[in-house]
Amino acid sequence: MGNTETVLIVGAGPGGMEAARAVADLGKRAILVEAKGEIGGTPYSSYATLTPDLQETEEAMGHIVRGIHQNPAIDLRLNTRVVKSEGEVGAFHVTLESEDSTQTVVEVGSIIVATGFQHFDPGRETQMYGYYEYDDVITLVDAERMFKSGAIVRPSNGEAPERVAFIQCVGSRDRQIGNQYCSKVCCGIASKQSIEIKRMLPNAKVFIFYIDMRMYGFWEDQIYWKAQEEYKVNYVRGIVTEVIRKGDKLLIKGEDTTMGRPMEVLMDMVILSVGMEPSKGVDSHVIEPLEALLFSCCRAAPGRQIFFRGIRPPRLSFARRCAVVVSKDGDHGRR
Amino acid sequence: MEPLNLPITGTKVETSKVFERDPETVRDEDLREAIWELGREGEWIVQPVPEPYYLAPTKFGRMKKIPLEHTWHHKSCGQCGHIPGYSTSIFWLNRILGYDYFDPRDQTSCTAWNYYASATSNQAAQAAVAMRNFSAAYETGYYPLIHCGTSFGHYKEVRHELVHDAKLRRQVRAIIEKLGRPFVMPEEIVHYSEWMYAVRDELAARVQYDLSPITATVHPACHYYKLQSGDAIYDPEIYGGQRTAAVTGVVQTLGAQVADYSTWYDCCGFGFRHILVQRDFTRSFATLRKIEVMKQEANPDVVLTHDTGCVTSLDKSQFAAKAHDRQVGVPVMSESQFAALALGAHPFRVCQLHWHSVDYRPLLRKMGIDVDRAWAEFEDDVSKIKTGELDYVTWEHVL
Amino acid sequence: MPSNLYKEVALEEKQRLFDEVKADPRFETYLYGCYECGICVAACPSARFYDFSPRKITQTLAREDVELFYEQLNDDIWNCSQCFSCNRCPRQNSPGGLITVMREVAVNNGLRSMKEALAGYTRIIYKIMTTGTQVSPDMLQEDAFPDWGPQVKKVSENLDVWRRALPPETLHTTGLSWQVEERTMHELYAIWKMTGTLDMISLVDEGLHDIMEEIMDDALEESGLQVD
Repeated sequence: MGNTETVLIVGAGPGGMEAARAVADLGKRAILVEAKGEIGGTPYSSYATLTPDLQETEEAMGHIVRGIHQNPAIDLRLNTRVVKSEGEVGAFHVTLESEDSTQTVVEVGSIIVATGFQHFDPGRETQMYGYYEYDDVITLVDAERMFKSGAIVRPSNGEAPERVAFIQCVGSRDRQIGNQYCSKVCCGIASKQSIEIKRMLPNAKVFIFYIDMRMYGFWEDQIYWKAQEEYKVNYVRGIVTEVIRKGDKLLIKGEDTTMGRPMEVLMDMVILSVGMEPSKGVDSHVIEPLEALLFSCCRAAPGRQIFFRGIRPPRLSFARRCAVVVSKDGDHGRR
Repeated sequence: MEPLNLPITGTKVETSKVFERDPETVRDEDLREAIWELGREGEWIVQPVPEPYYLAPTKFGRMKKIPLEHTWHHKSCGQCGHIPGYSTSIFWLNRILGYDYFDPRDQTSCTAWNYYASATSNQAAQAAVAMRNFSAAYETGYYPLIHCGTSFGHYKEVRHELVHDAKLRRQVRAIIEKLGRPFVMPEEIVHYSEWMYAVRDELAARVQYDLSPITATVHPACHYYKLQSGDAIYDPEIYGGQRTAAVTGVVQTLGAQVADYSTWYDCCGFGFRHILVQRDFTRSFATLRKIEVMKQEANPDVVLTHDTGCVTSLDKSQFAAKAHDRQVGVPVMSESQFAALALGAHPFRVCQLHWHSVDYRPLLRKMGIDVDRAWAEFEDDVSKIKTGELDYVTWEHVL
Repeated sequence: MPSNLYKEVALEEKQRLFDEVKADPRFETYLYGCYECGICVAACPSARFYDFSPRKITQTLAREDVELFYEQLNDDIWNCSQCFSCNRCPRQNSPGGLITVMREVAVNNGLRSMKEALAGYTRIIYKIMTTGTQVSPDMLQEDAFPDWGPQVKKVSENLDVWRRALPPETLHTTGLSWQVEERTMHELYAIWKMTGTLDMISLVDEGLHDIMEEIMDDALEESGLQVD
């Protein structure tokens, strides 16, 4: 006998939170399991502001987070992992384990996996970007940390950078790395950050080196055109192949493909637009039998993408609101 | 161009960020498994790396077996032909460390210099040349150690093709069998600079001079780490594990300073065809993109590299550039020659520096080597050879 | 973008050569597709000194633009340094590898531009194919390498005795880089014959081919190696 009135949601990032809210709105009960001690996921913990309005994350997502805590139909289990799952659609018996090793079995009709994403580690990049060689090479995430602290400076000397370069597609769209997908949000985040840098340092020159600017819908005008037209951010079509120190600057080498020639320019700071990879969280939960789930996990050999893919059309549509926050969980099937 | 007077930085990274490789993200297929599998299926004989071997970390974290001795020295035609101190130093170091090795006559060049220069060959021919040499090594019981960066990279390309293309494998096998030879694939394809890396501590223990005043710049050879790129040595201690540690790891362990420069990843300009018939390109690239940049940013005493073509283009290109008042004039040699010098090898009898173009004397003097005496000794050998008093300079003269 | 050059060459001929490139077994792993990121160009030494672009070569092949392909087959491929810095391609293309294949097709079809690119090079082909070593010590002559400075002259003047002053016994050679056994060379000749490599040379230099064929046939007959 299953409990079709209850839905288990694994992961309390933006996707999981929205799923839980939707389940509650439909009059069902949601069990929302989160391995960490806080909800909100990667965007909530590591981003200072969100696209497209550069609204502070706390402000943009705070009400969603509070809504989860206050919703009586959502049973939130923090510091909890799925350690065993049995059964079939309509009748799953799932064992949850909390931090103190206490196990509880819950009966649920369906399971939603929303274990989210993590940022790509640039140490694995095929190109030579020197993230682990130079302090002044940082990632989008490091930049967000600086925005939170209120100042954007070169980590090497604490001074404001005069020239900043963003490099797009780091860890995305790369067969050599095995990430044969576009992470979709990095173009927007880089453009958002370029505006923030220009607001903080109006005299700084900011460059974005890209293969394609992939902005999706209104982001085009809200972020890309805005950065280019109002803030005079330089968009250069061509990706950087090397970042290497020259004196106290960083020399970046790439091709300006619209001009068709190799280019080499000095920068004070380089920001790597690291893409997304499925969160390691997916491995910390034992969710079987996978084929009985709403979403199947298409994990292949190590290094292959392990996002989830729907094995049938999603029964719940809960991702609508996710599109407006800076990032969605690493789940293509949900859209 | 004025020197920039930049602070010289070594290979220690300027950040506290530390890269830790997650083994689950390693995507590089381990070709060795396929090689053993093909061996089990009877497709070829796999020659195992002889023990004792050294385990060196490669780009994606896989450990590579580097044989210490019983090595079959796959010589380089360019090294033996016009930089003979290169190979001689490798042999000398083996002898100094007491490692058994074999210097074969049943060996041809990999012929890849010609292939990359003129394309007057094809996949099957290139693979057959490689497999003939591997077969010859196997029959001696010694394990191939490849002296040339291009041979090393090319053989790995060949290996990749033979593993993945059964039709090619059968075609090449039939050729090798016609020659009456066994069809053999070594478990690992190993470059001599990897052997140098494996024995770097043993070398350092025997260094005769204080190398701390010596600044070297390293040119990593494209064919060493850009062909089949997963199979090159990377060490977390060298540039945070983000650049190949070949050469750099050895030179630093010997006690010299290694300076970075902003065209580190650039090619030397050899071009294979260009070095022979279109040297304006080679000269320009080698001097403008490499030597001048090194000079301006690091002012090194010596440029060290680990490949035939790179030593040639970087050394020989400087003469004409000097005539154009370019900022050149840095001696170039292999790290094997530099290590041999450091261990007390004779600069002319062993390192054969008189075959090099750029003046190496200031470097030797800075190392504390009496160049004039050494040259007089060599000249004495030469006159003895001329008068017939001496047939050859032999290993007994130099050990 | 069609090429305006080589209008005198029939489209069918250009297509035939293109098809030959595409038929190489390596082609499909050397070319997936190009999104014009320019990473190959920034890493390319030849792109800094020539009007040369590994990206354009790759894109032309991907688009199957046979007119532009033919232009590049004649005017560009010999500028490549074959260093394979371009192998960093995020799509895992190998522009340098594609050029190797294109060059092979240029040789196999005896293109005039190929002969021009290899003018002065044929002595090297003779050396490597007949001895198994590429550049022998006796090729270091002042007239061949005037730009390498006076040291080349010193080497050539002292060659015999300097080679004797080398401790490794295998290096006491002047016409070869090291002593290669006769049997080893004959095996190499057999490889050239069996793989059609010797035949390729007739399209580069007929005279050279004939000389080498005679040397190799005689040697193979003597050695008794079967090449059929």
